[in-house]
Amino acid sequence: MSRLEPVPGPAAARARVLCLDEEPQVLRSLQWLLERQFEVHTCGRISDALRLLRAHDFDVVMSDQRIRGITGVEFLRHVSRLAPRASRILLTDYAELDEVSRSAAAAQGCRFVTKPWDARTLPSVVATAARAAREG
Amino acid sequence: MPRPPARGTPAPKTIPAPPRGPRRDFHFMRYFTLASLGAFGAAAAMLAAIEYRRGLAQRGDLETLAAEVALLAALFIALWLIARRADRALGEQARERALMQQQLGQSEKMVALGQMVAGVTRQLNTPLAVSQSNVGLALERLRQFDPRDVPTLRKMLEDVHGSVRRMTQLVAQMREFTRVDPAAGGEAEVNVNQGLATVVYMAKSVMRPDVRVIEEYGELPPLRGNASQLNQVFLNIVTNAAQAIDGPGTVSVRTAAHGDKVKIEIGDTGSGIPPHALPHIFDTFYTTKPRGIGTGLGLSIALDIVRAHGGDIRVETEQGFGTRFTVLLPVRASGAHLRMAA
Repeated sequence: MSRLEPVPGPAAARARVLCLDEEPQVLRSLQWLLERQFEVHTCGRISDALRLLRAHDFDVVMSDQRIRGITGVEFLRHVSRLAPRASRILLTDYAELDEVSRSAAAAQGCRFVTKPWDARTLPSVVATAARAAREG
Repeated sequence: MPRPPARGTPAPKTIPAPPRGPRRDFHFMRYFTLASLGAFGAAAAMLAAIEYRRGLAQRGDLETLAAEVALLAALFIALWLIARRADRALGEQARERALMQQQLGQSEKMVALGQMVAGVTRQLNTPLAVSQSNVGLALERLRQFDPRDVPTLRKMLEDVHGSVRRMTQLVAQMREFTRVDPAAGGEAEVNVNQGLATVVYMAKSVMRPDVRVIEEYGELPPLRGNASQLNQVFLNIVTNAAQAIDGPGTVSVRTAAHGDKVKIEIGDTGSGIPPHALPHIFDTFYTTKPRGIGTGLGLSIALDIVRAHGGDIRVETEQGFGTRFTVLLPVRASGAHLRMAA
């Protein structure tokens, strides 16, 4: 790391993470789990997610596979066009994913986190994803 | 009874569930063989009597007559033996078939159970994830206790509490779903709406997220029956409906009182049943699903269960528009029914 790197403001230093899930309790859990390390935005609807994506520059976008009207894989494909820099994480019950969506998600470079997630490792997975996004 | 077609769809092709074929064929063959044999014996006896009288009147040649009668008797015995053997073989086949059907019925139950387990697992997953994450995080924050954390910690535990309640409800629902009343030979008061709601709740979790489910439950009189078997029927038809949809679509579940019957309609906006498959959907072992997914027994067993409850299943389908199964179950001599009659 360069010594000449400017000292960033506290908000700029933290990676920005967007979480999409239809269950409010899940969103709260993710918020509590990640809020000390990251700037976390949560939403329960696709329309809100798209609005947030246009408003902010996210490092990590994390989505549940089951969202009304669309699958998580499809949503993350939209994200790759709207926010090409962001790392994408699919939060899902692994068995829920059929072979086609699994390979589609893998092909577009999504990371997978299985539900129920491990509270000790999820923050580091998000941190790795954020680092990947920032380093390009 | 003719019904108006679903909104926006042309009049669908309706078929009632067919009468059961194979067993009837089998009994027909069996009795036909025995009857022919009897007729043959009677004809032989008559022929022998005629010959006897003619022989006595014309020639009195008893030796020829005895030879003829002996030949006829030998022929009769040979035929009788053949028929008896054939009958025994047929009986054996029928027993084997019944046994096999029973075994496969068991495996169909396992498939239904597997679907149920998959559904329950997914329903449990979210409250489990929330509980696990929040409890772990709360413990960690308590290790470096900061009084400012108290409101957040309380909210975390409240969510855990809610999740545990949700899991408890799910377990209670499962118990209700598989409830069998042993005192009345599996018969008990069945709440059809509740059973269907549980089925839909579980089936939703294994459906594609872009399949919408419409539930409209009418007020129904309670009916007597085997709740666990009827739930198996509903689970089968609802799962079929969901699987018929490729892409976004709708599954609708409606119930209504219909005279002295309860009417359950399960419809989908799927691909419809192709004309060549329609006459066979209730046949044992008939399936259009890939090997290992369908046993070809689901609807066959569903029809058996519904018929055992004195009801019937009808199906309406239109290719490209969807399919609707209608299950009619008689209320029968439930308490309410008896009071009304008195």
